[in-house]
Amino acid sequence: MTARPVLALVRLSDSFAAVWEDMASEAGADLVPLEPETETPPPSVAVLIAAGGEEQRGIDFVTGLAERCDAPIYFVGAESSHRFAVEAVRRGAADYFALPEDADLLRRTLAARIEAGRARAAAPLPGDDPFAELLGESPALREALDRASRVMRHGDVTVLIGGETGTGKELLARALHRGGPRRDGSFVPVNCAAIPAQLLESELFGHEKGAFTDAHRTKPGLFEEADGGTLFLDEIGHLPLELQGKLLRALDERRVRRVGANQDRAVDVRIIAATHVDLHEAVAAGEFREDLYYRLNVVHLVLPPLRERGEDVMVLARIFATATAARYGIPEPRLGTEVRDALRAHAWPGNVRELRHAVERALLLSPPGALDARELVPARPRAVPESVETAPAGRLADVIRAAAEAVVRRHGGNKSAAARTLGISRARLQRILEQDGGDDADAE
Amino acid sequence: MQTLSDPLRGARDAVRSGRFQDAAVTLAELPPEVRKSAEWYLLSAMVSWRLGSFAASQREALAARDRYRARGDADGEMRATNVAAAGAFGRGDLADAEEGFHRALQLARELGDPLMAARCSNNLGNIALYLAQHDTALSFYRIARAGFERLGFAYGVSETWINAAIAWRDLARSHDALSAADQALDAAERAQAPRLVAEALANRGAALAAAGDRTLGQVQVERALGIVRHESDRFAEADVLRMLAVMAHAGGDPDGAIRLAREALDVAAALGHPWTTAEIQRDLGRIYRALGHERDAAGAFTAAETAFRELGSLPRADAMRQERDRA
Repeated sequence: MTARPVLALVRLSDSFAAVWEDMASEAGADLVPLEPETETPPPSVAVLIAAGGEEQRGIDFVTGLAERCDAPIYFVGAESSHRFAVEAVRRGAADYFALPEDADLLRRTLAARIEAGRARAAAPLPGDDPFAELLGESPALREALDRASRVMRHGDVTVLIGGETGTGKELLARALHRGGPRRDGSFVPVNCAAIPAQLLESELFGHEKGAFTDAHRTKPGLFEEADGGTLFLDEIGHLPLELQGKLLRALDERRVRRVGANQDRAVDVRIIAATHVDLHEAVAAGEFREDLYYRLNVVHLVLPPLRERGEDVMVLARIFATATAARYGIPEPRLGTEVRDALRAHAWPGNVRELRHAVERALLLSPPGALDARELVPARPRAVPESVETAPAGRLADVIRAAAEAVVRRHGGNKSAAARTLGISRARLQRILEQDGGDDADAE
Repeated sequence: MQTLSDPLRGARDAVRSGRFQDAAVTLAELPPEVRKSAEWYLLSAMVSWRLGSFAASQREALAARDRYRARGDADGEMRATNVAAAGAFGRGDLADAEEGFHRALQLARELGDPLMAARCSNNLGNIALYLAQHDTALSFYRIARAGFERLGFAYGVSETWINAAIAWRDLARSHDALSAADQALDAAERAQAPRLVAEALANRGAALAAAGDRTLGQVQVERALGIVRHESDRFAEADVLRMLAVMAHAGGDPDGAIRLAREALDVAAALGHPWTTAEIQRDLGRIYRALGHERDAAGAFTAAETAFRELGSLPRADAMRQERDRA
């Protein structure tokens, strides 16, 4: 059970005496009295100095308390005195509150402190295993994680992660961030393949108001959002050539320039990139800058596919079965020999993600307490282009138009590019979009 | 001895335990001098929002904002601005909501409040999504999520993944939608919030159906319906019923689809939630059209178009007009 948070109270006067218990209980904290001259402050989310009418005496305690505790010190006086406020903060108080005017602000400040404390308690501690989410015991996985753990403490080293889709590249990047010296900064993941090329520059580097037609407001880019932390560039192989140069410059100079800006901004960001394709081949094909490749590839980590991880398939299947049973309130199944054979026989091209869905589906479709091996393998979902919200109503023409619209959207409205992807003429695409599916279902 | 008990304590407790109607009664019974305070207006605005009185919520939040601003309380001003924007959003005034959330985001950045900054970014993402600006929406969700993650706030992380999954489904990117939905559910379970778990389950069910696994999708949405009913979350119930209607239709059960859609419509109409109503009318129109009930389809599409237009979502309104013309 998690201990309740503690608010330490130095009570120098009886002013507002009823407030403190009330505030602490409302915030879900325990109030612990503190004698500032004789006691060491207990571990707490905040220390309150209740000095209503005794402000000068309270000020004298601030310096000593600030030296002996890590928690913020909130000085609470009875008057809005600029002189006391400045002096309290100068001596180490985090803030000054005058009651009764600031009662609500103090309440909110305490609530925010306690909420932040709970969030930190719920988040993995630095001492916890940062790789805990990368499940498995196979030598192939352990070797990859051992190698990763050696670069963990080097918070500025650029890392390139390889591996097939679904092997956990983002989880590894997140683990490197969480276990390293930048853990208090943001981890900002971005999938370069998921953002239309024409928007990617603004997304990464930001833009100034008026830089382009839709730039109604200034917007910081992801480099700035990740300042002090880690920017994870997934599917880096999809970064357009023209942006590769800008990324290289940002890496080399640690400065970025928003679209439409006249000046650079300094950023302190660690880059972790990932790809499921062979970037070396992309370099040979002229699709990826060689200098950027070497700049990113300072440390290269590769996550093995599930089919090369031996018994991990069973280990993971058990974990997913247990989690699914708990989620749906159904009995946990026994995984028998048939299940083991089925799991081993399949190649799992979608890796861990595919396995998770397969186990969940099979468990839900099996009799209670069992996992039917026959339900495991056909679980791979079929790729269909439409969502529940936009499911076509059934007419072939609707299906064609919906699919064409989806491709146009994917190309950010660029119909010529969409037509190339579909393998049809732009005029034909226009007919499909404007009329009724083009009537003819045959591909050109 | 001087005391300073919190006159809003009872109402705050009611809000915290989800008893919004009780909170409204408690607030109304407080003495007149309390009912003039910024704190009263802000709490009242939150309660009104939860009860679906969006116009009242916005009005009260703006009154709170002005009072906080007058006494130089930037933190209070930021919170009130955020609630006022949420009221505008609920009312369907997207332009006003966008302006308000941007202002609150700016204040949050100035005050160094990362939680509020993340919330505002998430809300701005929702506005962009409603305006069918999917890339902008995904960008805001990405920024919001980074903020929530930094704070270890699993609830917010899950919300941003749910929203991102909806955006990806809209874009017919079923793989990305499913990946986002998986992460939303993981984060919701970490947050240990039943209503959020239900929302994430329903969202994942929709993503699975979109990816072609209708059977598993339906199981998840039905599980979500059980949770939201247990939690008496009527907003979520309307949306989950809508999803089940679409699934029933896709699964070849037109009568079940129409029954579920009408049930969803009744719940949404009773709540006075225009966006959910518009989405249900849209889906009902598609079901009728597929069944050849063209007059009913046209009626539903017209209702959806009108609602989307009133909400300021013109691309969606135009799409409804086109669907009606084809019906």
